[in-house]
Amino acid sequence: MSQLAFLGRRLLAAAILIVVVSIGVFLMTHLGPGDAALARSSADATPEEIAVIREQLGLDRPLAEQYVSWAGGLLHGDLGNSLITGDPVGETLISRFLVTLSLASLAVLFSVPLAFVGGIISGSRPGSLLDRTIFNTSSVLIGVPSFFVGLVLIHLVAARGTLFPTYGYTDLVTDPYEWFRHLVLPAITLGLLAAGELTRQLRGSMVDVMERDYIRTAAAKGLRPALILRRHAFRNAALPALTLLGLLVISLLGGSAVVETVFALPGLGREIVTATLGGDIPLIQGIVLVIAVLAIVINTVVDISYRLLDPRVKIS
Amino acid sequence: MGTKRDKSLSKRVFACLLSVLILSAANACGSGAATSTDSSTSTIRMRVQTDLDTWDNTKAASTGSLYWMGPVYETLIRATPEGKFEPLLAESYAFSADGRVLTLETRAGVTFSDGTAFDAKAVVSNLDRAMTVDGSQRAPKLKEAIASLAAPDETTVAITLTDSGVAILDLLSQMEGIMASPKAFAEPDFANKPVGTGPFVLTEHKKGQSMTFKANPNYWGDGPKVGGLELQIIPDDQTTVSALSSGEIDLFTESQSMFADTLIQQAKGTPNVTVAEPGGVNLTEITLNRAPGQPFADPRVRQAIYYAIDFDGLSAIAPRMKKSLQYAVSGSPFFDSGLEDLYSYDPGKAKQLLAEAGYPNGFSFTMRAVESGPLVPMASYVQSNLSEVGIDVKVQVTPLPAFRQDCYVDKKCNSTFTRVSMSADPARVAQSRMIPTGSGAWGPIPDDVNAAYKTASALADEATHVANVRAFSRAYAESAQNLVLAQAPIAVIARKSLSDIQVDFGGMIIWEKIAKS
Repeated sequence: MSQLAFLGRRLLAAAILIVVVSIGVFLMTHLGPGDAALARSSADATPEEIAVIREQLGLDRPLAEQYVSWAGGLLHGDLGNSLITGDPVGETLISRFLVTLSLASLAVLFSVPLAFVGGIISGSRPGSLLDRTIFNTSSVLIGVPSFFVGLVLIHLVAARGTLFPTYGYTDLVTDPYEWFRHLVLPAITLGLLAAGELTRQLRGSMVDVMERDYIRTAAAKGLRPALILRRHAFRNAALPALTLLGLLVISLLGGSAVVETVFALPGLGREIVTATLGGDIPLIQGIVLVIAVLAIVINTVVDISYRLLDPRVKIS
Repeated sequence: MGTKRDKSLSKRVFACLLSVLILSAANACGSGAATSTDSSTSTIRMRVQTDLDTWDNTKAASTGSLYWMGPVYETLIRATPEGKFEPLLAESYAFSADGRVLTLETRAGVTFSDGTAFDAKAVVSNLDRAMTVDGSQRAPKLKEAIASLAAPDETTVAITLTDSGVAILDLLSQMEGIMASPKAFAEPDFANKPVGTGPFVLTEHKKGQSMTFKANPNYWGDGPKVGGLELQIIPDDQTTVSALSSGEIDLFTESQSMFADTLIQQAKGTPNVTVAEPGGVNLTEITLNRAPGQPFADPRVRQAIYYAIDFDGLSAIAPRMKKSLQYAVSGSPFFDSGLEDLYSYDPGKAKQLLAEAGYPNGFSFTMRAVESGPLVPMASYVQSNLSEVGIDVKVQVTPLPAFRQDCYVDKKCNSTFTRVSMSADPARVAQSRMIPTGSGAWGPIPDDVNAAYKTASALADEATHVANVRAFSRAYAESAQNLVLAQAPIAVIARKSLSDIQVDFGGMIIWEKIAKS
């Protein structure tokens, strides 16, 4: 199958998936108690007052009508307006996505080198003290909740100095230095979990590859261990790690809510928490749509990069 | 070749490690680089937990929106922390002899920050808009209280009240009393560009991040005493305490977190930080479903619960909460100190009342609570108290949207343990519990309590109204309609560099007063 046909099939599957996901999310937001009318009304509002708000927001219409109205707008590039703020969902998504993308990118930049160095060193010396240390450290990193890591970093680093702020965000375009400064601690927090998972994956692959015949042959030919590692072992061990990296990037983009809340970053993760609590259906739908599209794009990129890394792999 | 690459790789790794070390060292030493969060004596930074949905005062979600809008907007009347009303944008006010007409005199020399004059016409425009504009959240309460509006001259506003308008002063001290520039609210982007008479002017609102204000140079009053103000949105409590400790923010008011008391204790132990309790009130109550067939339909059961509660123990669980059996705040003219001894801890009496009501072996029910302040630990303590008299309580902690839907809209809860949405006038607080459609109205109300409420809600001069409200509070507590439990002042946690921290009845900071050294 040509890459073009492959891409076409992936896009078709993606479109179907997005429709299914959006219907699922739409139904879920309606199944739970409470909605935007309750969120917008005052605490002592009577049921009649809440009903008036519900009518104003169009929440009294049949579910199917509400969904079709939203989907119709989507086909025209209109994601609707937030039920709480009235702001266009598209504008909100762009601003929030850029924050989360910044955070996830820095987290990847932090975690990948750390994981690759740790994974290679650990996997090339299985059973050694260094291997056990790296293995156990990465297990701890996977196990420790990110909110805890974030709060520890805030307490130990941010609250005791002035270089890394405790909270907040600055746009990259406005001030690159401030952008970086505000994201260092959140990116480390988010990246540590990813680093732990990647290190363990890479270590496992390395251990497996290092026992292969061609590695023994290369060693018997007298190649230097560093060269064997780089040219023969790492390249083969990297493929499974690449798959995991793709999944991790998706989870970093979609699952950054905790870190964004702890560091008060106005990203997608925090927005979806706020939108869910407020029953802001158009915003929830928009965020889920963005994350679903990203997941599909990243998976497709990973699939294609497989072939680039290993020409023997066929796309099907 | 391989050796060179290895060395190069080692150098890069070393360089990375060195960079991290340098960054850490610089941070520990405190570079003091100019940043957006630098301390400045002319700007106060306050933490807010969530964002404001709109600056349109008629459409903002709840009465709590005044918290964000306070720097920009002012109300006609202000309620003091003690629950007394005093003129603000209205220079004076007076009721007609029958209490039917409230006459306000607008304050001289006040202009909106866009230069528009604040006069009687502006007041009428604002109130009229709040009652009629599409989607106004203020309309129901204003329409219920106001029959008509008039501006007989440039400075006089005459508000003719309906039969339900007795708590008009309270209403005008809240969101309903906000005055915005009529020129500004005619603009399409008013929801993003508020114009009021307040001590500050909004310069930037970064959604989800912060709101920045500068001092209003034409402010009519004394102040503001700082050049700028920033409301920083920080959802997490622990991050907030750290930000306060590092000086990135200057203050925050009491959190809604269930760990609020712990946080306050933690803040007290932080250098350069002080905890003030300038006023305002948090009040908790147990509401009971008194529908026919429910155990709580019998007043003896409700009174038994009051007698079963060890108020001293409750204060130990939430140290800032003090016993209070009425909706009036301590120090307010409506407060009746004689009511406070109506029920004292007496498990024997509780058992006796339960037996008389036909529940000698107790009964069981579910009490719904939300995670707000110390509510859940307090509810758990009450649960243990009630188990001692044979009542088995299941405390069910519920997210707020579900709580409001189940208990206030569908009214299918047995009981709730809640924070009361407070007003300076207890008649307004009681309204949602006394009118049939009210959020806290659960079941029939005895004739004497109903009559007392009607009297307390009837138009009257201020002194008579106060006496009527006190009589109602006694009838309400004696029949134990709902169980008001305890009240606490709202805490403001601030750096010691701040002074003159004052709040109004709702715990909103009075921004023109606060100073920073």
